[in-house]
Amino acid sequence: MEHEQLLVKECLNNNRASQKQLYNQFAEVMLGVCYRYTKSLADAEDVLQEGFIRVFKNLHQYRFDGELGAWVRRIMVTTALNYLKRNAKYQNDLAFEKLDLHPVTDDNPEIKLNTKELASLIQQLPTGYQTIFNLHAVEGYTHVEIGELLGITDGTSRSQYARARALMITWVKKYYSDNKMQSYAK
Amino acid sequence: MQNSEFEKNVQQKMEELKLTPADAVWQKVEAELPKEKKRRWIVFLLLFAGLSAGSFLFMNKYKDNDKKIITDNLAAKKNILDSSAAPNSIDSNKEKPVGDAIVLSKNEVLIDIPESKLKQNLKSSGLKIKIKQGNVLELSTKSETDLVTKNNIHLKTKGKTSVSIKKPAPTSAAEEIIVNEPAENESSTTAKNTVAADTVLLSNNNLKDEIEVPEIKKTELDIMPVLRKDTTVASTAKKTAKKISDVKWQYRINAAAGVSTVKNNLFNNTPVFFDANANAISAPPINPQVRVQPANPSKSGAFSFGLYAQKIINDKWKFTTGLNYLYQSNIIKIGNRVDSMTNYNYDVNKSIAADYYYKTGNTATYKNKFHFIEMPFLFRYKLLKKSSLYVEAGPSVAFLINSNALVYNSNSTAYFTDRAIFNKLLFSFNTGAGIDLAQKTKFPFSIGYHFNYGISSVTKKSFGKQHLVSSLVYLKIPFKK
Repeated sequence: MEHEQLLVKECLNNNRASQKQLYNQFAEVMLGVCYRYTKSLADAEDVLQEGFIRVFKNLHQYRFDGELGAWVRRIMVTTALNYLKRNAKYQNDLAFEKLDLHPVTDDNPEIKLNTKELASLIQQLPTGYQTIFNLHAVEGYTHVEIGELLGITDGTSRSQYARARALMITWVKKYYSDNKMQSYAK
Repeated sequence: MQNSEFEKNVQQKMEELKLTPADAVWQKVEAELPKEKKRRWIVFLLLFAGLSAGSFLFMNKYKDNDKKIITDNLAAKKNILDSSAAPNSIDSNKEKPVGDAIVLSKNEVLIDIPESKLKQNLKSSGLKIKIKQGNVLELSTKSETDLVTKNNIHLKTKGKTSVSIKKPAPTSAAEEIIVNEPAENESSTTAKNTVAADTVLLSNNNLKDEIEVPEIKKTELDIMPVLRKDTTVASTAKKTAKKISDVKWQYRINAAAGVSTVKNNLFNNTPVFFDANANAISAPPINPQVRVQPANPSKSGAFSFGLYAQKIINDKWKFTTGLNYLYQSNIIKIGNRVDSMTNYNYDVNKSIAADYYYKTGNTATYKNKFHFIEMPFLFRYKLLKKSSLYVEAGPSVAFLINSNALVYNSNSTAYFTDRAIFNKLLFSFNTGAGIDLAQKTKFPFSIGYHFNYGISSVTKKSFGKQHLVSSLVYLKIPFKK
């Protein structure tokens, strides 16, 4: 914690070496976060770049009352959301329509995919589903919080999430069986 | 649902996701980072140095003009002296007048001369000299013949010591103290007003370094017409003499306190937050039915402190500059804070992504604070000859160090702030009035009122106009009299 405080203070003093150190400390994890919200690595890097600029710009607002990593991650998530809203490629997919409440299944299949495979599956969800799935399942936001972030009702968030979850479960099962078939074939 | 087995597995797997970004990402981030702070200060210091140099050159123009007039006067006087030099005048064959000397009146002459040189010359001439405070010397003479003799020794100049040679008063002038007071009678032989504002001449019989004065023949008066007859030169020189004695800057500590606010326009009541220009393309949606009009800022505290340097231009005018820290603030009623990153487009391809924003409402108050380093350039005019009342006015330039001030975005009906919304360099107009008090005591000071109006808007054009206004009462204390 002391190390982090010192690092932040040095970054606030515009010490370039410390800024680079902070970047190196979080860049890989944060690129993973950005990757889940976008459709390509190039877009994820754009978000990462924009996010770190915001991190350094707003570092004076960090109060040391929580983990620095969590604070940086929150900025990355909000930067990613703004990127999606701003970028024409994602805008249409982000038009959240209130769907009929989809029954949430109790199906909890074992995930035997590795990290990158799972991230790749999440990326293939429609952008709206992808966003809400990331916010709820991975970041742990409540549907009310998601509603405030995206400007939708919590009901819309719930129904979108239920569909995203169902889709993910189907894919995970299918991916697993396909791979199993393939491995048997070998 | 969030904590079901499936979500836990997803969360756990995604925590492990790490991807290595390309090197170009850091390079792009670095390119957007602010320059080293030191460089910013260098720029500011250069600006300060430039302005100081400008002020110095501006003021030196007066000084050069003064010297030119003096030189002209001297040249005229020298011609007269050379052509009429008496064979029996002391040292007249050895030295010529070559430096700055001013005929203050028909009875006085002011000479700039190094003290050591003066002593050396006067020792040989036998004139009586009294050393005064600082490097101001007064030469007392016992008769008009002494006065004539003094000029005939042709003192070398080029120094900074001021010497006042006075014709003896009908009464004992040696005990008189002359301190910056206007003469009641121009023809007075003590010629009290021949010395400029801050020069103090003291006569005191207890002073040392007296040199015996030789007897001089009265006929020598006739060979020195410049002192008694050249009244045109004397008149011009009298005016310029005042400027010469005022070449020094006076330094003052300034402290001021008062109130400040912000205006869209000083001359009408256009609301500050009525017409924000920013366009939020991704602002948080607000239900139009609960739209609340923005409040306008109200007055709050302001203060400043710093150093002032003051230069006397002439009897009536003074020039003042300095370096101040200036704090201004105003208060605004706002609604709840929402911690959500929001994008505001304010120009072609330019946007601001604020981490949070405030809704309109009346549930809380927010203080908009501005921190400046300010450099005023004020011209001060003394209202009455016998009064210390003055008025002053002039521009100032200020550098915005920091601010947390909010701007209103009409599309999202929200207030937000960001460093990018502010203009860093601002120009203001200043005016005020004051009075110098206790100037003849050990603790002189000035009090007054100062009004400052920001000619430049503190916010960039895209974020509406915010002209800062402040009213301050100040106290200025000189370092030394």
